[in-house]
Amino acid sequence: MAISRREFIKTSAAATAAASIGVQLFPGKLYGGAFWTTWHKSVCRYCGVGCGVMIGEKGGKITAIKGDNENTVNNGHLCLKAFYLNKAVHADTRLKHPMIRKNGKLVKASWDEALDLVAKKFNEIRKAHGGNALAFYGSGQAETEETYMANKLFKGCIGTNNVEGNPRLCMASAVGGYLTSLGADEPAGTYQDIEKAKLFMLVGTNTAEAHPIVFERIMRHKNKNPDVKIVIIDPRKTPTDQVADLHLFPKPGFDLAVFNAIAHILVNEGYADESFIGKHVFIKDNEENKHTFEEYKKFLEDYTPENAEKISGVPAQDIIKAARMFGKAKTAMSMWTMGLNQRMRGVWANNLITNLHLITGKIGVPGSDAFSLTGQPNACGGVREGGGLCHILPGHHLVVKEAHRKKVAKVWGVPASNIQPKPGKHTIAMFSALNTGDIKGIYIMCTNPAHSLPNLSKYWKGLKEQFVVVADSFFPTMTTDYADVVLPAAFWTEKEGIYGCTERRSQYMPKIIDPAGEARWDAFILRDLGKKMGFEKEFAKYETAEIMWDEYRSLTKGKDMNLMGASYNRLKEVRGLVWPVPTEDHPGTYKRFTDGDPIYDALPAEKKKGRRMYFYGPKAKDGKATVWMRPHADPGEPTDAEFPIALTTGRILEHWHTLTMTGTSPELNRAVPKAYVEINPADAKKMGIKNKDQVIVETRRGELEIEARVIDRPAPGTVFVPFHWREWPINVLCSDVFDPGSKEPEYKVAAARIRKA
Amino acid sequence: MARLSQDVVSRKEFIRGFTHWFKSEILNSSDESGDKYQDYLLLPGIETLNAFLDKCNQCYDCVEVCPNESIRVWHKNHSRLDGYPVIVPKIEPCHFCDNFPCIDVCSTGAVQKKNSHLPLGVVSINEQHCHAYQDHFCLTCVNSCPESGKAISTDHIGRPFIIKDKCTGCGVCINVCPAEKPAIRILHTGE
Ligand code: SF4
Repeated sequence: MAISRREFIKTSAAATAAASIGVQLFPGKLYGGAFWTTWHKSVCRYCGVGCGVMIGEKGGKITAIKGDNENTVNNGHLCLKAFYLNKAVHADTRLKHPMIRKNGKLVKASWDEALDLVAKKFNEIRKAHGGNALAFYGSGQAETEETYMANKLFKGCIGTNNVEGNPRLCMASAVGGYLTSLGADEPAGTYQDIEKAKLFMLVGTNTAEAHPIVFERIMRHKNKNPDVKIVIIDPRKTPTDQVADLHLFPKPGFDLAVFNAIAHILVNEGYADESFIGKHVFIKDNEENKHTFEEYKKFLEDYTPENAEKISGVPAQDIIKAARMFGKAKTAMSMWTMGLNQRMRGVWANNLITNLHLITGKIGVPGSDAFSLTGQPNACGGVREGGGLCHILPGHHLVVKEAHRKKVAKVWGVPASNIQPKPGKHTIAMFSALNTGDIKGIYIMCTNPAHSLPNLSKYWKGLKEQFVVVADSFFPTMTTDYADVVLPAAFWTEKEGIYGCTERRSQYMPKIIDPAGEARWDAFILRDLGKKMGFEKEFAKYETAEIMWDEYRSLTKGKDMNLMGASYNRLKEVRGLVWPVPTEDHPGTYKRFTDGDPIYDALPAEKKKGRRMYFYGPKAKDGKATVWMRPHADPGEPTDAEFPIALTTGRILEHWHTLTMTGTSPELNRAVPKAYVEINPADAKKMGIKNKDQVIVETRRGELEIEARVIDRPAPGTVFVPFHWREWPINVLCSDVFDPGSKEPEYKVAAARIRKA
Repeated sequence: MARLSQDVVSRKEFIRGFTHWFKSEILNSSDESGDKYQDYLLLPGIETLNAFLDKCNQCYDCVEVCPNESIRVWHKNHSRLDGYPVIVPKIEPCHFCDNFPCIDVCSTGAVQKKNSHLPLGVVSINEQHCHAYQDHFCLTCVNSCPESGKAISTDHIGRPFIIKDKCTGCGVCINVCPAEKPAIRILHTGE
């Protein structure tokens, strides 16, 4: 289908206009008699790096944001978008009262009216069609407490596992990767490894723009230690390249062969640590059959650098160089993000990178780790750990395990039979079910799926037809366009709660000011909705955030992600705690599965005998990690004669997700006011496209008119479009094929063609 | 202060800039005012300011023809440029069109193709205002510069600096800079 750009501009003109003048009201005005700024320790609202911020409040307004010097994540540094977060708090686009759609229009309503309507509708749907006709779609930006309430309401009370969230679009492949490779989700190391690493392998990550402060730490470390080397594997040259020693440019989606070829060199040139492998690692094929190291070597024979060159387009010499750099380095840290996760074989890609660490023993020692960079501030904390997906329960519990269901149900105070033994619908299945009408009501919290799903326009149908409740802090969004009820949610600084970032660190955020207008805290909205739906008793006790956190925490006792030592009292004082942190006097854990990890330390001596790591996670056997013999696989939609160009999408430094927050800062809008398509100069020349020309990017799913930016960034044959603007919704063009393991869609590769507009 | 050597290289300029900063601090006024910096860039194709002022008859054909609306008429009392066409990058920078329609249309020779390689002005970074110099990771100017890597680059810890003899003075960096107060300024062309 062809997307009319005018349509988008029309619907969003009001929002854009409001956003572009979203400045602080009355700067300097004395308010409520406050003459000075008070500073509060908190966490950045944006990305998964989890920088510590100090928030300045004066007269009931958030007036300034600065880096927290005492936070070890960022040591007082921030990226520029965080600096302007105060503008988002007080933006004109804040949603200040509930709204109900009447005669096609959203009109102001009272809280009682809105929640009564949602409760009535949800109960009707549940009665007529069963709990599985309802769904919840949450966010890696919601606090852990908020996701916890949603989980209890939907999985524990309504009785459906249709609980998902945008981390499915973002981190699910990393979860699958860690579980299958290391036996437990989330990295073994932390950011502390950065300053100890001798080599960085940055794969499918534009770290400089998407995880700026991590990048800054790498840059400063390399600057101090010129022997530190950096290898980048990415189809695009990006600002991250300013630190690169070597850059491999695989064709989008064709990199699996490269990873195996690197392993091929490592094992054939003597870089493998066979003693580590013998003691710590199983080698398995796709059917989970165990293999010997010799068999693994044999499997790798197909992946000579020359063969990998044929598949990926990366010169064999570069693959050999990269492998030798990895092999020779005393310590190595690989980092990746959406370039590996948003792939039809995202889990395999994750496995193949972790393989490199497992076969060389570059894991479990300072400076070495397979380290996945998380996109959202609480994707790890709230959703991966908090159980905000359709197959998991809070605290690394699984819906398929009866004992887990019983344990969680007991804490929730609901019959264990309420929790369904089968996983619910994953994100793509969920939105497909809205299309077919199998799901008839959905509660969407703190996210904007009508803008961010892949193959986007396909899923607008269901949102239009079914009963849609949207709780958000900002209005309008592409998702509120489809809402039947809109609920104003308190924003960052207006509520307390916990965020858990990339490095297993849970950090506390205080409530500093009152919510804008009639906005309420998401966790309380869900609690009150639960009560109105008839679960009065089940939700009676949740008076404070701390009660929710403590109940959640109790479910982590004895688990690999033990948070028992991370009480509110403690978290209010410290700059976060890195789990496992089993007791109040435990400092948190730098390295998992090895000395210093309380769970490892508590293992009986005979288990640890002769080894330096013990992978004790829920999916590990005999304390061993797994090296996977994953074959190369092409992307879901490779380029062809008809659509010869690979389209890839992503973030830029100045903006975040769907612009609800960064769009409120005139400074950030000025910096990058609109979307564009990056085209390699060689391609542009062939197509007769000049810089700033209007072009039409087309895939099998739609086309988009957009400005060309002719720039030597994407490799020839690849183009890149940032996804932030509703006026240029590139996700309409993205493919929604997904990884059969992680169910994460392949945003990163679509076959496209381009013509001049 | 070692980092300054990477920025505006002339030492004399540095000292002048410093006194200016000092003065503006005392007067508590924006350091964009005063006589050291200006808000406009010259048109492409100008050999010397005097020759331009001499030849331009203020017909504004160039203003009319600029496809990006980059060229504007400057109005400021006591400015030698008052009434002349200039480029105000804060509003719209010069995009250096391949064929220079502004030069093509000029009938007086005030702007000429043979001079189109000359910079439109000299820009420098105000480290007091630049995000990157306040430990805020920012790359906007470096990412947007059409000559990124040649005309502007970052130092070892990610702070931008301008390579004066490669900078075309197009003003894109000034246009996009997301600092609260302008962090890139144009040195006065000497009225
Ligand atoms: S790097 Fe991420 S967490 Fe840190 S300031 Fe920037 S957006 Fe916030």
